[in-house]
Amino acid sequence: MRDDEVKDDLLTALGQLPAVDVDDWRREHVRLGAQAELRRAGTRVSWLAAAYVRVVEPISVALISGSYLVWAVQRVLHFHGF
Amino acid sequence: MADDGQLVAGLRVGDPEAFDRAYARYRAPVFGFLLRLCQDRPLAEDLLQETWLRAARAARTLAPDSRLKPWLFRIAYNLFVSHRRWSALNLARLGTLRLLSPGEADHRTPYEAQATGDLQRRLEAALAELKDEHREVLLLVAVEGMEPQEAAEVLTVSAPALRQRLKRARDALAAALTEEERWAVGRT
Repeated sequence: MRDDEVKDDLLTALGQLPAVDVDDWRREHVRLGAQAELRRAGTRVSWLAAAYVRVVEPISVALISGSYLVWAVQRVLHFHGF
Repeated sequence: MADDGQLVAGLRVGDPEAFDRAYARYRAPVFGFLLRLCQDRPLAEDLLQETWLRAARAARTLAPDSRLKPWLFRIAYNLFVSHRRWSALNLARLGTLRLLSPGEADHRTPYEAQATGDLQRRLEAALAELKDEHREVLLLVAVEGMEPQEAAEVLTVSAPALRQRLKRARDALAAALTEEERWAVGRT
C-alpha cells in the first residue's frame, strides 16, 4: 500500500469516529439558556446598545477626529503664514 | 428539512424555531469538536454552553450570506483558543477519556465491534497526542467533513496554509500510529 493511500484511509477512518454528545439534562439546559439569550438580544434596549456601538460611536469618533485634524492642520498653516 | 441558508435567515430575525433547528443540527458536531480539542468533558460542556450563548447573542448580526457551520465552529474555536491562552491543558488525562456514547445503535458482529472499537480508541488517542494545530485541522476536515475553504475560515488562515497544515497533520497522525495500526486502518 502506498503511503498516500494510508493517509487517505486515515482521514476516512477519522471521519468514521463515533459522534459524541452531551447528556439530556445538559442538552436542554444549554438550549433554554441560549433561547433566553436570543430573546434578550432582541429587546429594544439591546437593539439600541448595538446600534450605538455599531453606528453612533464610530461616526462620532470619525467626525470628532476628522474635525480635530482639520483644525490642527489649519493652525499649522496659519502659524507658517499660509 | 431547512437548509443552512434558511436557518441563517431565521436566526437573523431571532426566530426561536430556527435557533432550535440549528442547535439540533450542530450541537453534537460542535461538542465533539470541542471535546476532542480540549480533552476534558466538563470543560467541553462549558465551552459548548458559551458557544451557544454567544451564537444567540450574535444571531441577529449574521450576514445574509453567512455560512452557519463555519460561523458556529469559529465561535467554538475562538472560545477554546481563549481558554488555552490562560490555562495550560493537562494532556496527561488522555488515558481516562471516554469518548464513545454508550447508547449508540450497533449492528456489527462482536468481533467487528471489538476490532473497530479498538482501532477507534487508538485513533482517538493518536489524535489526542498531536499538536493542537494538527488536531484542529484534522477535526474540522476529516472528522467534521468541512471543505478546506470552510476550515480555513474557522481557523482564520489562508486556504493554501490550511492545505499545508492538513498535509503535515496527516503525516503526524500516520507517524503516531504503529505499522500494524496503519494496516488495520487501510482494511476498514
